[in-house]
Amino acid sequence: MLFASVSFAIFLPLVFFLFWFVFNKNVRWQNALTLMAGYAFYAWWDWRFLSLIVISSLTDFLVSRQLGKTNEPLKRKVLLIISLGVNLGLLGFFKYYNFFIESFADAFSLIGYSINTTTLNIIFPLGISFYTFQTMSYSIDVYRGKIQPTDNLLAFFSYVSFFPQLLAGPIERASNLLPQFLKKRVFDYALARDGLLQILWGLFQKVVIADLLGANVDFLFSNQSHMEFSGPTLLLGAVFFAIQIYGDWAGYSNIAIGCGKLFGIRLMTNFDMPLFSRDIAEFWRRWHISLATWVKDYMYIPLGGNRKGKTRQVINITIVFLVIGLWHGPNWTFVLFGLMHCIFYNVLLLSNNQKKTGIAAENSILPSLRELYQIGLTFLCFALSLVMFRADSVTQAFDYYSNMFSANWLAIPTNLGYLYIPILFFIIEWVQRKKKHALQISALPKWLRWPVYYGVMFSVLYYFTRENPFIYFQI
Amino acid sequence: MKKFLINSLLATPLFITIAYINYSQDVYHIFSPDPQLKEVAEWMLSGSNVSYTRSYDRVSLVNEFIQRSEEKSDWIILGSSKSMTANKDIIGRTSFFNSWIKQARLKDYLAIVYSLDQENLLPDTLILEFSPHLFNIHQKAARHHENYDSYFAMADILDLPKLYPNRWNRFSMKTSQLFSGRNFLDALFRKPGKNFQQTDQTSLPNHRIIQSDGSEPGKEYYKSQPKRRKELILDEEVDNQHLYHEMDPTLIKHFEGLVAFLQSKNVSLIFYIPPYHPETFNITINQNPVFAEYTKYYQAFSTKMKVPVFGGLDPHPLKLTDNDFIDATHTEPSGFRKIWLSRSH
Repeated sequence: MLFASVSFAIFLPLVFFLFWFVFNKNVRWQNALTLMAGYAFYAWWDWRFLSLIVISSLTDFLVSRQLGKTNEPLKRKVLLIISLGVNLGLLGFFKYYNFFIESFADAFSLIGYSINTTTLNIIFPLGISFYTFQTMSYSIDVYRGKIQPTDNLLAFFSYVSFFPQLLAGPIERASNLLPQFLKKRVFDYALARDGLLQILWGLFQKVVIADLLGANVDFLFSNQSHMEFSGPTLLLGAVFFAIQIYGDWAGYSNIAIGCGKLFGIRLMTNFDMPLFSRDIAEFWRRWHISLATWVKDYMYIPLGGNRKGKTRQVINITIVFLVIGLWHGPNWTFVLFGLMHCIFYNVLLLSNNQKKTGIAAENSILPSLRELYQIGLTFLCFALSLVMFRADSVTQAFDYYSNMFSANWLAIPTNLGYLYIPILFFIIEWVQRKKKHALQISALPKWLRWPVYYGVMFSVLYYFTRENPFIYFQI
Repeated sequence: MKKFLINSLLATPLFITIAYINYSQDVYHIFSPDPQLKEVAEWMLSGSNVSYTRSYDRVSLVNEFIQRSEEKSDWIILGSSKSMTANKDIIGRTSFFNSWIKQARLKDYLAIVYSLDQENLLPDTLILEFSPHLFNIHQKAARHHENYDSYFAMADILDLPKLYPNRWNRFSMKTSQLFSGRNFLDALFRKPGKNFQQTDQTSLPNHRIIQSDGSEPGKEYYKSQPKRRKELILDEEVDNQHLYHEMDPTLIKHFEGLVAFLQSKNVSLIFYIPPYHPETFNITINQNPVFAEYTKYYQAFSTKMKVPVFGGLDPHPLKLTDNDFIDATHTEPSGFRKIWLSRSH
């Protein structure tokens, strides 16, 4: 089920009503409804793959319970390997099997050997990269003794399948989310009101910003068409894709977080104004925070982080970014996307490791020239790396780069007409950069707030022409 | 909770207003067919042409025409807007009906044939537009009133899997149209007045014409918008071909079922393959391997079913030039005439 769809517009109020008026007796009832809603939400796409969620949830529930009962190091290690094996096995088979087989065959053909491989016609189960990471983190945290395992099967299953974040995150940690499922949720007016506004802003980001720019981006990236355009047009196309993917994914996250608030659940922030980052390190502290912190906690730090010298840190960062790249999809384009960020990050690390804190222009209305330069440069690096992310193949990406840097730089971009969308978006986000989302405008008087809400609602209804899937459903 | 619900209700006037205006004005006739189309069908049957200024619901017009027809047309052409310029003078028949449907899908073909059969109006000869887009599962639907009931009935007769939206999807599509901000503004700002006028002209400034045989005499207005026309000709997404990677097997089944049904009813069939604009063909169509697959298919299938074919995707052998095209996919009457005359007898 898509968030920006008629079915969800009926589903959400229905579940809200049932949750607060029918299933509000106690926490078990609330969890039972949350679980049913999560499974119904997923089954709307394909009920067969519910079994994968059940397998992943059950494995980590049982493994963690056993981990809680034993202190024997070997047994604990075996239990952890079972959890990792099942989750990575599911992920590897459903998402990466064909990619590795084909890459393996390609590698052999490069050295003159031809090997017969069999690829499978595997359907990619939506959300698998998100819920497997979520359940794995639970087992790892229990293994590390960071959290206690739960005996409450219903609460655990509800936590894994909580519908707002099931398909595209945020990738929640048990330490934040699970305790919220263990106690009865009480309706909080301020939280629910903010949730509703966050949903509205998320819809605006998706339907008005991302989908509108998406039309131009699709056109520029469609096969062969980029050969005909000038450098500025292609560069603007890359910038548009950066805004599109941000609007798409941050929009999804805002809707998910807003939905959580309607049910008294606080999900973690996933995007924190990343477009105003002043360097690539700050960018990764603000962009897809739930994934970035996941790889930091479960890969980067266990690998040694920055504790074993600069060389080892560079290697660790390289490994982490390659994994982040590959996590986005089974294609070499994503690996190269990760590699580009790894280069940006390591260059920064080796040249200037000064950590930026706070947000740009924290105490002023406009950024300083230095900040503007830093923000511009970071955004440009991000937009250029996204050409690799968006392209269907590495060849297409290099064609795009090559045309972008060689073709007619004096020409006026043909897609200049779309520029008002990112400009409008940047202005809104800049003004509201210290807030969790752009519609946190409670300081304004009511007579001014409501026209804004109405304007945003109308824009969404105006631009909603069809149900476009979120880009990150492909992950 | 009470405060939350009351505050949430403050948003509802916007939704109620939009839904009310969209439903009551029904600019695109999504919720009920345009009542004026009954009159239009009667004008056509009395031999008059009809002028119009706004887009209309072609599915309903064809249905109205069929329901009001007392005698069958000897010849019928069944296709999409690519066939709309085929008229009785070019075909050389006095009893001819052009039953084209906007963005026609096989669903529309089956629905129209079902209605014709129910009214005993199946013609002696039927020219069937055999476009590649018929087999593209991503072919977009028209926004107008739909003809699902006739399609489902025909699919049952032919024992075909029903491809097109189930009740939920149909409900969902209508609901999104009901709350569409775009439809709302169109309803508020469109010029009042009747869309259709009876006329004996074939060309009127700022109007388009439906001729009494159901055909349309080309789209003059594109000629005053050469930039837009050029964009359409170079559009890589023409016919949704950017999403077209294989011919859908279920759609093939639909088409073959329809052909078998018509032949079982002793209708003589002629297949029409509409060509693309020369530039469109060279730049996009000729690059997509699915069109080669399609060409092989139509050649084999027409031979197997012994159905004569005219036209072809490639405009060059048909000696069609830029002047013969309205845009990338639609031929002017002059273009259709050339294609019709080029057929081998």
